[in-house]
Amino acid sequence: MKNPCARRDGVFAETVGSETILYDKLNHKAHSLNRTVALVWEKANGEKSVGDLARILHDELAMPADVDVVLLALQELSRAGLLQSVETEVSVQMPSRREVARKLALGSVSAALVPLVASVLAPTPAMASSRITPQQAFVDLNTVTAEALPNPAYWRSGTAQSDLGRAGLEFLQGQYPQEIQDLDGVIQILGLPPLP
Amino acid sequence: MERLVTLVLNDVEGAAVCPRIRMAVGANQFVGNVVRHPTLEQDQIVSCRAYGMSIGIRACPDVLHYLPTLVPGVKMEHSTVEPNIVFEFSRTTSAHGEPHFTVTENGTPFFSSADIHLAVLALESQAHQQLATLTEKAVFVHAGVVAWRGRALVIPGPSNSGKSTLVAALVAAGAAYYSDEYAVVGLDGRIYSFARPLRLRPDMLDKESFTSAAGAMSHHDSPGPLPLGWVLTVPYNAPTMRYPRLLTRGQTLLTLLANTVAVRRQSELTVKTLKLAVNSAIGLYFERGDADKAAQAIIRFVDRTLLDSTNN
Repeated sequence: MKNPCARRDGVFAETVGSETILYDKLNHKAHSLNRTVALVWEKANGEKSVGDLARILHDELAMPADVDVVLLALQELSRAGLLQSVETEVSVQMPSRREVARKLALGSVSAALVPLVASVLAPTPAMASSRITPQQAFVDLNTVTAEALPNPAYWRSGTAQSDLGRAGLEFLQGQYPQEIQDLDGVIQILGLPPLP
Repeated sequence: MERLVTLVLNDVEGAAVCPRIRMAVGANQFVGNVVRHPTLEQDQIVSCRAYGMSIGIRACPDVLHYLPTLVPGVKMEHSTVEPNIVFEFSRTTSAHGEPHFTVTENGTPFFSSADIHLAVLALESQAHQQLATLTEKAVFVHAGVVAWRGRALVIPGPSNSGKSTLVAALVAAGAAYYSDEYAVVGLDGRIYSFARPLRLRPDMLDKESFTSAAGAMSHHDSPGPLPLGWVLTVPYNAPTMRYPRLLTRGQTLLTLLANTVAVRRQSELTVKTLKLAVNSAIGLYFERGDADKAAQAIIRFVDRTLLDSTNN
């Protein structure tokens, strides 16, 4: 893979305690990065390799210099749309979260440093005010699914597939706001028309 | 062109219903400080100023008297300048002689109903929404808010997500009412009251504890701003409380941000303001069932966090 390069255009950052909040003005998503991912996002400038980033994590956070930690952080950044281009997205065999957590635990590293990004979609004023009905959530899921499945880009994007799968699960669990958030992710990745 | 005049108004029956008032009038005739306004019923505006915005209602005088104040705790006064947003509340009569109420915003109709209560609710809701969207003096987060031991307890969530029910249960348990619609976060990070009259689902109105709590809440009360103490994400998903977990400060901020009305319009202001607010806050997530039991669990939790912070 190419040296990873974080996306910074249209993104502003604020530090909150030990976390970094990023607001993506292009996609209207907000992300909370733990220290590990925040450091990778800060240092990934296209000139440093994954190995270089692993050494930086080791030096600054006293973590084992393990590329799997960096790869997991890059995977989280990629999922959040915070890597600069598709070419730099993670495509090598990825370590699982569990695997990385186990390795870090063996090295007596705090679980709080396992790479993690939490994301939310910034609502429109109407979204913030209204509750999504099950009927609307059902229609939205069907609409996006019908648009996504015939789209070749959908089958090339693991993120779009996992977002759509998660949206279906969230619909079944009645978690409609989260479902709409994931559908919005699919819409943005595939460039589909926004939901009405 | 508008002229500032002093008027003596007559209602449609010809009886004087208003004392001398000052108001903005379009190009209408006036004599000294007394005007006989030809379209008086549609031209009276009252407005209020809050959070850097001025919002007015234009309506005929006899209806105007019954319309709500557009911002809780802020008095409506006869307008001397044109407000940023003017809502018009008009009454027409159908061919069958039934009254019909239409609400417009800056001239564009957005709600119409034969039921005056629904029309009033639509007016109030839209006015709040516009205030929350346009103001740059505060950040409006969709949330229920109560005060507990000198701190604000905020329950973010969209309309009809059970906030009002839980707020009523918390008030019944001894908390002070701040809002069942918005947590107003000042630019100093403190939480301001937005105490509109509590709205409960019809089935909740049968519960004595809730009605007494709702009755105790007056939208005329404007308690002072408080530091943010707790942010609770409590979806109604389970027969009993389950899956409790503490949120990190970043996750707590995201929880608020996901319910912030104007975040897309003023993202930097929102993030900076919410960052100030969450500096003093604890975030908690759990799935809840019955509101009374959830309120008791919440109070136990927040009291324990206070005890812990005192011991530390």
